[in-house]
Amino acid sequence: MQILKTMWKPERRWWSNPPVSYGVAIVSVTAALISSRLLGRYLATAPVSLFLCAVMFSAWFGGLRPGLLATALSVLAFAYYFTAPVHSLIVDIKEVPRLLIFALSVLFVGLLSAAQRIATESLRHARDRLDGTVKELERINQALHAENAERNRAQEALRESEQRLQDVVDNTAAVVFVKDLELRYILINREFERRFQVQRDQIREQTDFDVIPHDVAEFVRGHDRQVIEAGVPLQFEEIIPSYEGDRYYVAVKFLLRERTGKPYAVCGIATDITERKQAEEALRQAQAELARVSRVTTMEQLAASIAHEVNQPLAAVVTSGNACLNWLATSPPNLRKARDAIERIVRDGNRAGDVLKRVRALVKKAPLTKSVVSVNEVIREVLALAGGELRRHRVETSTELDFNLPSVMADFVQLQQVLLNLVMNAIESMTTITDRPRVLSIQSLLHDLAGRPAILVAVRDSGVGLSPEGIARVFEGFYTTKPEGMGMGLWICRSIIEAHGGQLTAEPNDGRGATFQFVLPAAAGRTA
Amino acid sequence: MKAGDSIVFVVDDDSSVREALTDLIASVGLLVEAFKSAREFLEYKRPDAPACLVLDVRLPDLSGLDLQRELVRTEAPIPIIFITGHGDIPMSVRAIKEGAVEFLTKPFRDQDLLDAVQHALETDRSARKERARVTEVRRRYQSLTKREREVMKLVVSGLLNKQIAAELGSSEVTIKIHRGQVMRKMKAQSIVELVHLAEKIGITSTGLSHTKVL
Repeated sequence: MQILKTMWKPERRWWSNPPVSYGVAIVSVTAALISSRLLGRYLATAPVSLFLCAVMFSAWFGGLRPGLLATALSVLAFAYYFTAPVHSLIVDIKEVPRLLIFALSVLFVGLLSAAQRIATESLRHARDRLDGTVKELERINQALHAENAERNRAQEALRESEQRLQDVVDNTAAVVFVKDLELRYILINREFERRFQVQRDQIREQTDFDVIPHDVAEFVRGHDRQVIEAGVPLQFEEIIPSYEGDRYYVAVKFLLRERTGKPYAVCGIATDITERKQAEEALRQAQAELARVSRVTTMEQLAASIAHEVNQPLAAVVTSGNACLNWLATSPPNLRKARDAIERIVRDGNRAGDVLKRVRALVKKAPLTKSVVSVNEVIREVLALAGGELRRHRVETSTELDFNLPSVMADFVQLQQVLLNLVMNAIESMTTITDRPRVLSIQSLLHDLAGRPAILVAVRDSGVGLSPEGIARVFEGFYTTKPEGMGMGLWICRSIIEAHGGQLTAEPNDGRGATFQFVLPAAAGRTA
Repeated sequence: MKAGDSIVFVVDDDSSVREALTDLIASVGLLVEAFKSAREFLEYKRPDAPACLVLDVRLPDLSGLDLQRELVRTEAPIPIIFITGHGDIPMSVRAIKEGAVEFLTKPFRDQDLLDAVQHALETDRSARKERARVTEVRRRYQSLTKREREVMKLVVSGLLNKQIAAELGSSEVTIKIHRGQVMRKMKAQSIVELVHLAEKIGITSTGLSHTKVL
């Protein structure tokens, strides 16, 4: 532990200072000298043992070296003042033993005192160190307590935060799950439990194969793996069966990462959009139905009105012809009446022709509200409108659209009507087909029309196809192969395309079915 | 006129068709009168002659079917041949129920129309004869006194003079005289003929069903 490594530093006391210690040695010896000299006047012999006290004090106070200094000074003072001859450092020979004994005593006392001081000192040091250690231990203990409390608080906070998160996740209407990178479940929310009838403690370590049908599991896991590969959040639409039936989900899936950024799990939040999907589907079907009905009524009304307009003069022609024959059969023949009848025949014949001319002109000259139109957009709209019909008749759709096409100047609605008509015809031509797939394919590509850039749209079906006679007549008015048809649809379609400066043609396929295609000139200098 | 004053009316708003039909009908020697609307035909004072009506279903304003109903309502019966550009079955059923003799859908063969016209005229001719007979019988019946009508009613019910006398509280002789008057005024040669005449003008014996009949 860091804290235990801190060195214990002994306290330095002011008197441990060497000059002070030496000073004390000099002063104490001086004091002993003065005291001995003063007392020596009144006593028989001077009390030199006071020097012992001075040395002892110096050694105790300052240690060995001040003790030795005091010893030396005491020996010098003894030799000077208390041995004969007095007031001289010269020592009389007979006084030498006394001096030696004195010196040895003083030295001994000094050494002993110094040794005792060192022992005391080290004892005190040891005690001080022990005190420090104890204090240090107390501090460490406190720190550990604090750390422990901190950890408990953090754990409590974490638990609370986890509980809050679980509450949030459990109370959302979305289905939430977390899987490890091997796609084994780690965590699921309550909605997940409810929908798939599993318990969160049972699902740990399990995979989708344990929860949903095999093929669906493969599908869902494919999405999970995409997220793991991509490393960024992705959104998917998934259809997953549960006890409530097939449900549509929009699932947002993303990676959970460690602090280092290393992913450790896939999290998914799936929202049930079944009701929305169903509403959209119903809306789409209603739209398709509306478009179909309005198309049929418009076409039928137009066709019926044209039929009536043409039928009247034709009926009159026949009747007048018969009347004419009757007038000629009388005897004598009534030539004036016969001539009147023939004049009416000519007049009514012209009238019938005029009707058709007028209708054609009407379609051609109908004020077009032309705008910049993307044919691909028209195709998408029409496929959306016809979606219900396509599904109802189990027709597969394939599109091959060139998204770099230039746009065209056209009346969007009319173009939509033409394409819708071609698509509906294609569907109708396939309703009786049971021995092969019913496939509708729509293609858009860059083409040319009289040397200028143009857009070609081809509608190909695998239906009953067209006979050679059919090919020749399919765009004529009142020609139809359908039991209920008026034979006006394609005639009007061709008129619309021609009014846009384009061409509408039909041809049988190499295999089965027929292809109707139209070419429209590209709008100058624009792209869709 | 060769066909004995019978007349064909044509109502069609399309001038080509109207003119052609008129001419066709004229070409077989029939008298023909054309109108371009139902309203125009209703306002026309028809001559008292066998007739039929060739009528286009689709007419502006008042349609052919409306005209038919109007004619039924005003008790001016006339056989109707409908022609239509696109007749549907409910429409033709309705027309036939209301008494149309024919329902032709354009384009039709002209001979079919002419046959229908001839048939309609024949129908009208006999209907007119029948109507005339009924009118005459009714006129004769009007000339009977109240007592004679009572006696006639009981006679056609098959009662004997004695029973009639009892019924009316009169003598057998008086009844005999009334009965002779009835036979004379109604121009009936026999009781059987009198019964036929009574049927024509709707006199039946049902009113006396409580009486014991021999």
